[in-house]
Amino acid sequence: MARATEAIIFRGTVVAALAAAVLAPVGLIIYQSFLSGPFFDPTATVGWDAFGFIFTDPDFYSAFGVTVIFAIGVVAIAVPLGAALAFLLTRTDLIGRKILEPLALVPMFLSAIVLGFGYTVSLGPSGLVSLGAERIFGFVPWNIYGLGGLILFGGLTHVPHVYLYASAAMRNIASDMEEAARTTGAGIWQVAWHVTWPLTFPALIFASMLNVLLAFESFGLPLILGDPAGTVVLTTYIYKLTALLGVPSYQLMAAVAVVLLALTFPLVFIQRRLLAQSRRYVTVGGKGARATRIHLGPTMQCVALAGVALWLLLAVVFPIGGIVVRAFVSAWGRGINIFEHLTLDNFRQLLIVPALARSLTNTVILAVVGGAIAVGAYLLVALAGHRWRGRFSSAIDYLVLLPKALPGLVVGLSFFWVFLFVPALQPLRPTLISLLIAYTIVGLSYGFRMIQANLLQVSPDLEEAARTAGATTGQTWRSVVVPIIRPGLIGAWTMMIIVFLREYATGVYLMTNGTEVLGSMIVSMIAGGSVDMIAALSFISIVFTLGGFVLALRLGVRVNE
Amino acid sequence: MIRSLERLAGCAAIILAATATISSPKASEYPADYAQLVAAAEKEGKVSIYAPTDPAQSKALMDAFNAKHPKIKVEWNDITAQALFSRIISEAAAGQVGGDIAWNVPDMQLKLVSMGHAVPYESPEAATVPEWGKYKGIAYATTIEPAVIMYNKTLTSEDKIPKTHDQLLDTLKNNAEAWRGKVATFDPEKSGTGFLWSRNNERLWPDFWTFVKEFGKVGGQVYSSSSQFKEKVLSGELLMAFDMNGAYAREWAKAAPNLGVIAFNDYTQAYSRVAFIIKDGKNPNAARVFLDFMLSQEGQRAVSNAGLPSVRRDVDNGNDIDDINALSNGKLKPIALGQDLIDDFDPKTRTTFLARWKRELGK
Amino acid sequence: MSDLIVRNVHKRLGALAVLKGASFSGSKGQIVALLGASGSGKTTLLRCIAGLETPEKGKIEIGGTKVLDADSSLILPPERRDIGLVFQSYALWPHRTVKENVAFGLQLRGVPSSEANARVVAMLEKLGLAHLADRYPFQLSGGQQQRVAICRALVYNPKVLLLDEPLSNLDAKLREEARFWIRKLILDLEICAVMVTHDQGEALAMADKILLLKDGHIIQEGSPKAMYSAPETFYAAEFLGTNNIITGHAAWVDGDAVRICGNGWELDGVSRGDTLKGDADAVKAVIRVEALAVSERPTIGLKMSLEASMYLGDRWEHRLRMGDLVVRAYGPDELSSPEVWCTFPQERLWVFPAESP
Repeated sequence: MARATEAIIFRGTVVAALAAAVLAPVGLIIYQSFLSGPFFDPTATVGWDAFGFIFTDPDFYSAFGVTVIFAIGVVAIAVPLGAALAFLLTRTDLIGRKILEPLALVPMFLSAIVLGFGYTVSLGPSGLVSLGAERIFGFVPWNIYGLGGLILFGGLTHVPHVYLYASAAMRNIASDMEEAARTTGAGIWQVAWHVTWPLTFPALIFASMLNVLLAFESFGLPLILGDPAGTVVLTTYIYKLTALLGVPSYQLMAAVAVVLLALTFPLVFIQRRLLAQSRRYVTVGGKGARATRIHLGPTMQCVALAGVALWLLLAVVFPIGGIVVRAFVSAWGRGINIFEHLTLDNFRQLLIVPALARSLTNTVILAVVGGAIAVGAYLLVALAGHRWRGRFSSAIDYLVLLPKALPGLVVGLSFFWVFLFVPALQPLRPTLISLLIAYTIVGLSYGFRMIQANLLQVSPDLEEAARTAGATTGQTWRSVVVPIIRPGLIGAWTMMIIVFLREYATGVYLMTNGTEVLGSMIVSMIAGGSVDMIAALSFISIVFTLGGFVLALRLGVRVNE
Repeated sequence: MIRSLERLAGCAAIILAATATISSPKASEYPADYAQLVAAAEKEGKVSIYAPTDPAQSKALMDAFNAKHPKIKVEWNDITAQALFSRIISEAAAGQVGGDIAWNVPDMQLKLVSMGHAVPYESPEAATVPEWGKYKGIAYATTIEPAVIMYNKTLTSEDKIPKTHDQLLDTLKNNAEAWRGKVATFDPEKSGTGFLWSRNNERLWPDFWTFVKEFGKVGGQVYSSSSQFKEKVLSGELLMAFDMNGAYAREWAKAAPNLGVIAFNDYTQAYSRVAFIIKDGKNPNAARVFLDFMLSQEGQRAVSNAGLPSVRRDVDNGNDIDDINALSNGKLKPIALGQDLIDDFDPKTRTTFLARWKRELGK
Repeated sequence: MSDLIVRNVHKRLGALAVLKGASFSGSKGQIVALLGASGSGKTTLLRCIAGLETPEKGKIEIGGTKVLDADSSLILPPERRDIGLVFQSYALWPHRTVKENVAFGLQLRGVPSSEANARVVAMLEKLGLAHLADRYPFQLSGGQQQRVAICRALVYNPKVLLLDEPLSNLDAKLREEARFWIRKLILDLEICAVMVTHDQGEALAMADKILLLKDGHIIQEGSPKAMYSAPETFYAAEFLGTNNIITGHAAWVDGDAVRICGNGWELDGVSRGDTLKGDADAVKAVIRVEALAVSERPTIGLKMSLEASMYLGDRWEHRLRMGDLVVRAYGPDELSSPEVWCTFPQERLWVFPAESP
């Protein structure tokens, strides 16, 4: 009897720990939104003042509207393109797909602020590409600033977030299902529409959902591409609220964050409903050989390659190219020949600042070691929810998405408070552990889902075989389940390394002398105008990430399987 | 009695500021038992600084300090101005104070002082700080950072750049097409510095609101981070940005050949980075030693060599308050540390000002 | 002593009652077959015994140990029931070699590795797998995988061996062979085995006792011979063997003996299951195809017309008609005359009320 409850104790403990870890910062924000001042200020009173303020501010409604349009636009661009890209790379014999696979993830390597700077250097009013176009047309035929540019580039750079989940789902479709459709006379696109698409539906629903949340909490791109045209989204509206009174007004920030949070619940609910209805689609793992890919004719090859190339140009070459160029010049833009201003000074400057070297080390430790620990934590959560029909299993679905529903800087501030005001956590604050915990929770929505998908592919028979052979649930997980999904875990680890390397918002408040991290240092440097160093740092970061990523792929790591 | 004296001092500071009188430096007087303070500081062994600073400048100050006090380790926390404020009030409330010295923009610093987060310290170097740069024996100005015009030298020439505030108004009015969408300043709605400059302009420039209206008419741009101004003027997306931090702009212009910097001839407002000792800091003695060093000729020289102009007149390295005053045609108007800065945090004052700003801008 | 006792097990899956009170027992060296159509609850019953499903009601004892008592909320997890389970899919762990798959149960039981190794090798040798010990499952054929799965389930001497459709993934030749050696192995080891199957041939050949399930009930239980030759219900009669189903009316009833009639024909049979109430009741009757004898010369049997004859290799199958009575029968020879005489042995024509299950 005692051992029968072992699994229940484990599940209960994990869900309770997850709830505590997620709800502490989120709950603090909710509490803060109902106060008249900082929550630690004894004179603060409870009330609706903060909501009263934002709900009577016309700027709030305009920012709200813009945010919703932005989110819809991002999903409308990123989801179809991400799905198409995944289809081409996983299900067809597209030429060069081996090289395209890692490239498709490159927009995820950099924080959005840096990507935004990259876009201004290449496509801005004085951008290198813009000036070239001006030479041809006599004027710059585009304007990247404003809601249009924001949606377009937001959508294009979020394609990897869809590709990642869609390609994982598509790889698991047994090719005999597609072949069956082809033998009945369906063309490639009919197969895609009638077979592949419905089978990928659950993954795309999740990806859409994630992208809505990412758009809601997106800050870097709206700051760089929205600001010049006066386009304000809720996150940049929060920024404005902060400055409005000269000192941070936490209750106003929190109230806006709570509005964003409130939008998450119906979204998760809709997602669950849609997925519940589509459960009949979830056919995990075909047994047959999956080697056959759909053959594209020469015309289709050209069309598909041209489409992928265009996307790569807009989402990878222009922003990354912009940052790379910026890293090696001292001046650029109108009337400047950049070849006359090539320099390595930007890199030399990095050497003189000890905090930067430290932040590089810390970031790598956090990404590599922390990423592994985070994957371990996600595995525990995923196992707790695995084959569990208990009442709280659905709670996990909500909990993992909550941290992503809040703007990163607000979550970062909240984590700072949690580590500051919870006595048991105080000793951790000046250590990297505090950042690791915060990163792990913020990264939940990325990593948990990947591991969960892997677990679902383990046939229940394999687990039951272990149970009947005498293994407890825990022994079954250790000896059977975890070894089987090991390749998936390594893929998730690679993914978390990428996510942690570029993370910036979480550490802005939490980092302290000795625990500096690159992303958050960049935030401080942006305020001070050290764009030269930011570009140089970003260049190094791209090289490291891409290098590590290619190495991982060489070693046989599958990121999206 | 003391309070009325303080008020008097405050008034004097404003008058001094308004007339830009720069007092001559006095010699610093270290007490005989100063070695004991240093010994106590060395016993503490470290000092923690909260400051949003350019990495090169913080490094210069740290290196100079370490050369003199190798036994006191400096832990520098480079965080944004807003994050610094949040950290100090949050840590104080949690009883987990982690910083010893706060070094930041003047208005926020005085706000923190008014909230009781600073401890008074009569530095032996106090005499060398101009009267307008001292607040109640608690907070001290350490730099003088003028508001300047930064422009793109490749796309426009210096003679087209206005030299006075009135010329700025005239040129926008008369050459509206040339400047359309190509001139910018800090956004007072999103940036504390932007508010500080604009609010001070309102006090110093009778035609300020007329100007704001013209600025709006020519599609004037507003941004909130130095990086954006730098890149946009550098690339020619903007021709000119005014009320930029001259300390930064002059450094950038050294590296980027197409950036030009000039100061206004009629008046050049300037703010000072203000330092104080954080209440309940763990290393109170090291904090005193560090603050003294920041104000000392040696410390000031190190920082101004790295780009932040010294508030002392005797640094003589081409980047002290006299040089900035000369750059400004002798019309330097430092923002005095006084009750005004704290009063400007009154929500009503701010929202009224910003509402007018938006209205005049035609947003 | 019974090694396995199952008492009144009820199990619902959602709104559906899958098991509605199943009871049976099994003893050492005995093979119990759970036979039924798909959806009859046989696999659920097996999973309840294994502890992979939790019944709402009932008691289960394995080797004298209570493993389930719903009344006192006693539910032992699978790993504490001392059972071995062979999955239909074999469920070999793909990341472990044959040896590692088989050794896992011994490791879990804390058997010292030298001893465990010896037992694994002995077990593999017994099933002719010793040379495959270091292979991975994907390198094995289906038959080899099945034998590994059985080794894995038996190596730690479980009290009860459970087999879920163990032969369904083998081809026809291997299957017949496997029926033999699996039965022999279980008898040799003197273990109690429970096997789920939908294949009556498998059940008849391998089991000592067959439980026939329908809609969550065990409708008949007995030796293969008794099940085949003395079915108690229409369903049991019809489920086993190859049968003719005859519908008609009772002409008269006298104790067990009953005469049934239809359009122009009369047959004598025995009443089984629920007793017939009286004359003129609608009835249905079952007679095994092999029970009919057909002759071209007149006999005491029924005169019928020959509609077709099909060659099956070892014999012929004839389709016969007499009014609305249509039957199939086997015979050693091809028939050519259009009229034949068919004998229906009375004791093998089982008559049931038309409404009986």
